[in-house]
Amino acid sequence: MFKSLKIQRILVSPSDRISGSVLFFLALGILWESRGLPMGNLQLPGPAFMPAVLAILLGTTGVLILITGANSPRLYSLRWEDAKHTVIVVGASIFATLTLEPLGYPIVATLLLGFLLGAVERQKLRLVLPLALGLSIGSYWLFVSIFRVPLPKGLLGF
Amino acid sequence: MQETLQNLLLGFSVALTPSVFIYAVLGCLVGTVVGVLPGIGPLAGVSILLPLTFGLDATKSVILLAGIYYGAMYGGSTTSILMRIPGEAASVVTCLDGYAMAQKGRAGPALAIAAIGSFIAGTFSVVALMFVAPPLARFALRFGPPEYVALIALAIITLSYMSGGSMLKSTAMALVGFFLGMVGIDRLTGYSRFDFGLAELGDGIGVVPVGIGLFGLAEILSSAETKAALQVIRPRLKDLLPNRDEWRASLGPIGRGTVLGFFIGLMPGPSHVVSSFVSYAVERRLSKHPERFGQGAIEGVAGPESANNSATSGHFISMLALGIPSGGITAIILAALMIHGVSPGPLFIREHPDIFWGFIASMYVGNLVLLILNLPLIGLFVNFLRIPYVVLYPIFIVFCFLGVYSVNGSVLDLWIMTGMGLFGYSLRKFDFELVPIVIGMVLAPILELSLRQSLIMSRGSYLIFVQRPIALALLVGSMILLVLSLMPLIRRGTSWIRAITSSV
Repeated sequence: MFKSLKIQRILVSPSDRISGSVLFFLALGILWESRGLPMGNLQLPGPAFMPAVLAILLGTTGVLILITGANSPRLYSLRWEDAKHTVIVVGASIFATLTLEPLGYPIVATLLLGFLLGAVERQKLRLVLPLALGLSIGSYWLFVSIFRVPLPKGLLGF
Repeated sequence: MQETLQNLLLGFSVALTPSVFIYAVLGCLVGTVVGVLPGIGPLAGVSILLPLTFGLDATKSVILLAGIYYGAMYGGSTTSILMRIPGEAASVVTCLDGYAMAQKGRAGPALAIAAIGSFIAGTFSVVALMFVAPPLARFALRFGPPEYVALIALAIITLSYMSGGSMLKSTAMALVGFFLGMVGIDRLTGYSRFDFGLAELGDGIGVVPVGIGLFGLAEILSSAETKAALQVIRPRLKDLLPNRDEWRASLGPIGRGTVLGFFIGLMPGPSHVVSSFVSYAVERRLSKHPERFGQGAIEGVAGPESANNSATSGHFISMLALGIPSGGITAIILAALMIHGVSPGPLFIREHPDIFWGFIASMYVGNLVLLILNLPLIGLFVNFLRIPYVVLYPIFIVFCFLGVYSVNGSVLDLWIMTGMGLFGYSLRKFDFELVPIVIGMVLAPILELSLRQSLIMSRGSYLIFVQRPIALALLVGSMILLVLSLMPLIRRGTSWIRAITSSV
């Protein structure tokens, strides 16, 4: 009950208040992470000097965005129709990142294209199959043989 | 003058070498396709296609990427005129009169004037670039650390001021970029900063995964809902030539757009977008019949299209002469040069004349190639519009992965790209500009080093920034812009206080 009320409160908040708060907490995070580094002094600034200056400026900017953002659009009113699609594409990207080295580029590129074109966008198999295979093998050949860029071979080992 | 011409000859000897020339042509062709395709602008195009340059040398890389950039500027007008869909932001204004002309059966002349105006503007602005960049670079040799701090402050404030949205938000994004640029080993003391124990972050976060994530992946995430292939008007080659009245009406706007575009292009920020809008406003103001604008006035196509192409050359000046990128695209091209071990800056023209002058000459060649190819091949280019975006975006994603992994063979870079894609997608929802992040990131090492060196030089006194004339002039410029941008906030003083009290 409390949780859903909290979510509702966030959804009706002005978007700039949320982004301003995030920036402010990011600035606090930078200051927190800088605490182990020497600050130095003005004659000889240390490695924490610049991050601390930036964090103060970022925190101030975040607060200004927060307090001037009362009339910004509410969070729920931002266009979120594409969010589901975004989650799927980001999920596919995470899968590709995790499996690129163990499975190899040709397999991962084929799977990624096959999934996005076939399963997500419901394209016909006669388009998906040649496109996924042709593009992944073609780009592998182009980069490895012509541009001499090493790409992971993975399971295929060729 | 004679020295410039000799250098230009050297440039042409580089640019016309068949192995280099082919990349100028390829860049123009690919760029035109990028410009034609809605949903992928020049910035996303240059970011996604960056991996194509990894197997090339620095000269071919910069020529290919620049070709993609100005090719996209050319191509962007096509969809604006034929479909009322701007291929990229600078072509938004071309939609108004270009599409109106197409509806009246004058699509051909609109496309022809857009291409010819772009050619004239592109060529003129390259001449100006050729004469402005070397003296500016010589002048910049007088810059010490305080001048660089002041110059970067001016660049960031101008960028935030010029960006269409909130200056506060743009400044915040530049600060986030500065922070990202500070991850890794501190160059002065050797301390590791913000690397969370990951040895791979010791060298810092790469510009390529951040750029491809923010401009490539985030763009794809935001546009992936675009489903259908589009219906387009297909003009015939014989209908392309403008009539006498259209020629006469276009000459003035092309000339004014060229000059205006070049000077606006010198400023940091989305100057090619700004230049097209300013040019449109100027032409409308100067016209004896302003009511024709929006109804198919050819001046409304000629001026903005010339201005946005002229601005592309102006945009390169601060990157080539000072090493300070003035926009997202120049930041990506700068990163591409740095991957090849070349750092643009005041010594760049002296140390790498073949790259600089080859690049200049390739722009002449590229503009000619675009004029020759664009008009006859217009039918071919519009065919790309028949490919649905849902088929294109998975291919772009594979290219993003390919590009990021190719730089260092690092899986961590892929995580950074994916994270930045999601971050960029969210920032767009919250109406934040993404370009200042990459610019801040590129400039962070120079800014930090210069600021700390300045303070060491002055024994901790900030007065060093006002005691040196060049630094003082740059800071005064920054202050003026800052005050101008704060004026609305100061005027709204009372409502501001009300906003604070209501938020408590």
